[in-house]
Amino acid sequence: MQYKKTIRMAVASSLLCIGTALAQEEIPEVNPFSGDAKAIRSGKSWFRNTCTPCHGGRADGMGDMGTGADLRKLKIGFKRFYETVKNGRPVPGRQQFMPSFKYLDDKTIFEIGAYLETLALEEANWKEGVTNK
Amino acid sequence: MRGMKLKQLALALVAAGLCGGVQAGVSDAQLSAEAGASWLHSNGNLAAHRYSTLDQINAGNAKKLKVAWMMSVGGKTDAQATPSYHEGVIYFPQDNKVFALDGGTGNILWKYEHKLPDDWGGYNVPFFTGKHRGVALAGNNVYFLSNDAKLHSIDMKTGKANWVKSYEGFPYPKDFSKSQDANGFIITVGPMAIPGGIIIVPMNATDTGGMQGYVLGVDAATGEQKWKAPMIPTQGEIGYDSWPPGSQEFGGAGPWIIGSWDPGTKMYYTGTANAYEWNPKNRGGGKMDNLGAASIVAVSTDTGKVAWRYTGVPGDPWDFDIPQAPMVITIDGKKTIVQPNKTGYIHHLDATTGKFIKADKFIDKVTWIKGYDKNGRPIDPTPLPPEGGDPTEITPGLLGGVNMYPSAYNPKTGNVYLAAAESSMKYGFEEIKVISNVRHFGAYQEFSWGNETDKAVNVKSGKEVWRNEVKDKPGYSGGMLTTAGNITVYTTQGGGFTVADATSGKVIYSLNLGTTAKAGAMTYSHSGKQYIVQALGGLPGFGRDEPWKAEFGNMVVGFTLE
Repeated sequence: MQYKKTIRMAVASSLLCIGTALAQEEIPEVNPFSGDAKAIRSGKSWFRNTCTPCHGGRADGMGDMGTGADLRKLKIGFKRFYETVKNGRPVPGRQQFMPSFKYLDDKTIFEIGAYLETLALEEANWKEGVTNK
Repeated sequence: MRGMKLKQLALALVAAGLCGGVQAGVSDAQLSAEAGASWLHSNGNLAAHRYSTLDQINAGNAKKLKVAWMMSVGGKTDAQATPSYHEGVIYFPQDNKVFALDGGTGNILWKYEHKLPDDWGGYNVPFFTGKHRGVALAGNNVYFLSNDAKLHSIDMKTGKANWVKSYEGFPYPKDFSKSQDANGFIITVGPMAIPGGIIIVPMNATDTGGMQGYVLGVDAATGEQKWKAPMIPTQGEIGYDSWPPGSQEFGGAGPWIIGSWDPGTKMYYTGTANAYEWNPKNRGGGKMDNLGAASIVAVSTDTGKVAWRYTGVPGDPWDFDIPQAPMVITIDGKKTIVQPNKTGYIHHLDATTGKFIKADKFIDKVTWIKGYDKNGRPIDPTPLPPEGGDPTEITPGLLGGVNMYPSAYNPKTGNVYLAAAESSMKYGFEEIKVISNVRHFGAYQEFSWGNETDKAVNVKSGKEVWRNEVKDKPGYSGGMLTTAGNITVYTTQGGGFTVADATSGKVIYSLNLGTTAKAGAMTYSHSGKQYIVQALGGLPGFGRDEPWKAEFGNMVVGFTLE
């Protein structure tokens, strides 16, 4: 019950609070837009504009600006996916790393995640709140 | 004639004097000479041949090469610069720093460092940050372009700045969350010194939002801007109407590779980046030429006026910019621009008029067109995919038959040497997103990689002379160096330093340097010994490093004979 309530809250917040990150405790464990065809199409469009330069059109890490992670194999769960997009992933000693995309609103990040779920390989993990940091 | 030479010498001495210091410095005569004892220009000479007259190291003895020294400059991204050398000192830019290294030992003599602004950021900016393609030397000064579009004049001897200039109309890109307009110029291309006290300053913002590209002419002594040449035609120029009204403002076409200069035509020749956005719907949908983008542009350095523009990819729908340094080569008595580029062709143009001469295919497979007609127009281009629809497959992929990795020309063999690769891609269009006034690509690609293929092509016949294919290793070598000793030098993207016979391609010497090369080698003579220097740094490939089994690294390595 509490789980469903959290999802409803997340959807409502993401639609109303464009440009504002959800508070940590409000980030859903699973993507509220999973399987939503309209969200997946929108996420695909955003992904192809903002993510493909590094992650490639197949999300396999083969972008023309390169060295992005293979997102088809993402094992960090939805919550950490969200956090990584929002906060970036600096790599010590390198100029090139995943920058913060905190300017993307939550709805957009959820949509991108919903699209990436459709590309997931068997070894990927989107459905659980994995915490293997 | 003698009077002319004396006058040139006098002018050179005056120019050197204006730049201060007690050393004679780099004179106009030296800037105009072929590369030999010194390597003054990133691409060797003004004509961008990357050819040295030195022959102490040659095809007969190169097997006796050994590592003379190694030095890490602590690079945090790709090392893309060819170092420069003059009077005992190597000058090398990396990560918004310039290093002076001892030519005999590689030891660091001084380090100059520039800090980027706190609100530095924007679209694709981490990819570009810290990369540089060279410095310029003139008088007693090193000229360096930092990523944030500032020109630094640095004293060769002390490593201290004489001055640092920024230029009106060329903002740096900013963090999206800290700016309402994050567009800006990010400069990875180096400056170039030409005779007459001018520093050429290319300005590129193409893939960080598409602000249109320019080339500036700057006074070497003061840094004051003398002229500004637009890569995209302005009203009244030929080709202005090849863009929909207003689309020029974010049309890209930045010069992102150091160009060439000819003392006869007094023109600076540069290749330019793709038209922007990558999705062509706002700039004619691929049906308008977008002249100036994916073009070779000639700028009169006396006046700053553009003399001519030629586009090799009209309407550029594939991110097929043609960026490489246009080499100036005299062929059958005619001064010719020779430029290998992403399209899979080597373009030949009349250096004076820009008139198309021919285009020689240099990779095995090209599908995006069926060739070029006698006017230099693509024949039967592949139809574009619809926005939001399935992508279209073409060959080569957008990284091209060759990319930024420099070519070389050897007047003794008559060959051009290419850091080439076979590849293809699926390419599609999407709605163009705009964030903080930055227009995104609106396009994407799915790559299929082919092997790194280093090769020689006879410049006159266009026929391949030899190839060294690196089996099962995608990508490009770092670029080419060739010499009067009948050698051609390149380092594979996986770090395989290679000296090949320039005539036959036979590998004479190789050594695994253990990390990636994204720069061409250079050579110089120091205390009677010839050295070959290769800068290394970064990860192999563009996100496809697994086949190379190589990790991130950074090093500058000097070779000499035993």
